[in-house]
Amino acid sequence: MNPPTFAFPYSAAILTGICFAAACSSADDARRGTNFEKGDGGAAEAYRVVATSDSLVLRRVGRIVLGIAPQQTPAQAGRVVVAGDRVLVADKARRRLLAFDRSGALLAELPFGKGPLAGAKNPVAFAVARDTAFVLDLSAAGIIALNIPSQTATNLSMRRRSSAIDLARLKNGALAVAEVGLDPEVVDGKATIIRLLAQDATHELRVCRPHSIYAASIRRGGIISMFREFGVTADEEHVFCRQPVTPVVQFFEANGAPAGAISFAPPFYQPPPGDISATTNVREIGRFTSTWTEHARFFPHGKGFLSVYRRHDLDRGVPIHSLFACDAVSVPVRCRVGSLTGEPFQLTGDTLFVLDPVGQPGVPRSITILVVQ
Amino acid sequence: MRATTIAFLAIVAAGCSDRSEPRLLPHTRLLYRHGIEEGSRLRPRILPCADGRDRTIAPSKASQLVTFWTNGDCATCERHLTGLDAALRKAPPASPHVIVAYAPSATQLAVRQTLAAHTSALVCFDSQGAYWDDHNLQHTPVTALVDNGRILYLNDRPITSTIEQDQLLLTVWKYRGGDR
Repeated sequence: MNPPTFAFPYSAAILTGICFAAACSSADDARRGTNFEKGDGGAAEAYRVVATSDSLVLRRVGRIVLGIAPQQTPAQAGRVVVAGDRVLVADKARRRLLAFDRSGALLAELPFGKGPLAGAKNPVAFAVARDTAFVLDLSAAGIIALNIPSQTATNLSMRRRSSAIDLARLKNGALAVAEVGLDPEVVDGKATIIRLLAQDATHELRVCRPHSIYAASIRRGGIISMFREFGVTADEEHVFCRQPVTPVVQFFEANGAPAGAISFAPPFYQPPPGDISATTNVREIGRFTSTWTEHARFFPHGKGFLSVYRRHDLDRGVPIHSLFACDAVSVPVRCRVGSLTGEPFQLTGDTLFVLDPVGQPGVPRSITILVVQ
Repeated sequence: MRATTIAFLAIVAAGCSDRSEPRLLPHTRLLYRHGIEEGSRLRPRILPCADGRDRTIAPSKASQLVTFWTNGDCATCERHLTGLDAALRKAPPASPHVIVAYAPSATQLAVRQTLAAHTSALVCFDSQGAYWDDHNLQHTPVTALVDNGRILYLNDRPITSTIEQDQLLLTVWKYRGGDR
């Protein structure tokens, strides 16, 4: 991963002055994203739209069918992770963690709230290292380190402030946790923060500053503040903080020091048109999410990245996933776009894992394996 | 055991009935506001259901137990469905139980798959979210006892304990005792 050439943190003025050598061949090729609202927290939020029609080439190389019998396959797949020769799936409907091998054979079934996962009521994220699965629970006080072969667990203490959202494991063994927490220095005491948690300690290293759209929405009780699927991912050197409402990705050194921000947006990116009152009416939420593209996943890839954007199809009731891959995080940059029917959930090297849509009743869920070319 | 439960509930219900016009039933303290409340009226709608047949939801001149549900409901909300299912297995009420799921076309298989893990109730699909638009339905799942289009009773609780399940059954059966 190359460090960016522009300053951090939060220097919108520098970003807006840049013209990309590769991406701005004409005045129309790049547009500057505008701030939804300014002046609250100073988060980095200016972005450049990269005009490209180059297609991302994806080659299908395999498929994993999860389980044989209907009871073995996840009824409602939550977070999925492929690690080595194992596939872990949180089955939200049947409240259990399922472990499969790469052929799709069920290795273990662990119910939430019982046995080694007694402390897990609503697991939201996993990270895996060899035989250990780290399970992050929305409400639990710590991270559960589950040894899969022995099905024993230990609890890693975590000085948690609020809802834990995502988890990534760094090369040095530390765990990066994203949580929506209280930060008295930011936005009326509410901010999204990323914390780096060493396995044997609980020291907080750095916060990821919230986008001003999100921050303003918290204050007014808006629907945007409900989009809390913030994410952390890591590569050899950095940990990345993705926010759902912006293409801008902040990133940090493994020790927590700010390292920069990636500010490229795909040509199909559409920011939220405005904020409305928060609601739990799913029809209303669906109507709202059909009007903008949510930044749903971010994966470091080579010296660049691959992002997954999601827009809700109101008529069909399912998300449409679009891909945006760039070969660098700063200029000069070359980007490509693509689309998928399934839900991309992991990029390992050049291999992209995609959870396929639900098939016919009784047909097991499956994962399609693609190579990014 | 089931026959004994039904017989007991029938006796209690008969003793409590007043044979008057349907009235609101003993109130259960709700966990959330839902956009509908006891006394609200639901428009009758014909919806396609998972068994391949159509059903009228909130029919006139009939009673029905309706659970509104969406596939995005929270993980802990399943306890409402499983608890309700367990209660109704003990003593099936005269009013049929249907789940009305907001499920656009491409989600109906996933909805069926998810619900099959929680309940044996019949699932019908509100693909356009008409009830959600009518009432700004929020915080589902929530179950309504509906008579002639009018909501007599609402419950959004987990219904996991025997006491809660028996209270629900007693309420539904009490209404049956006073049914026309």
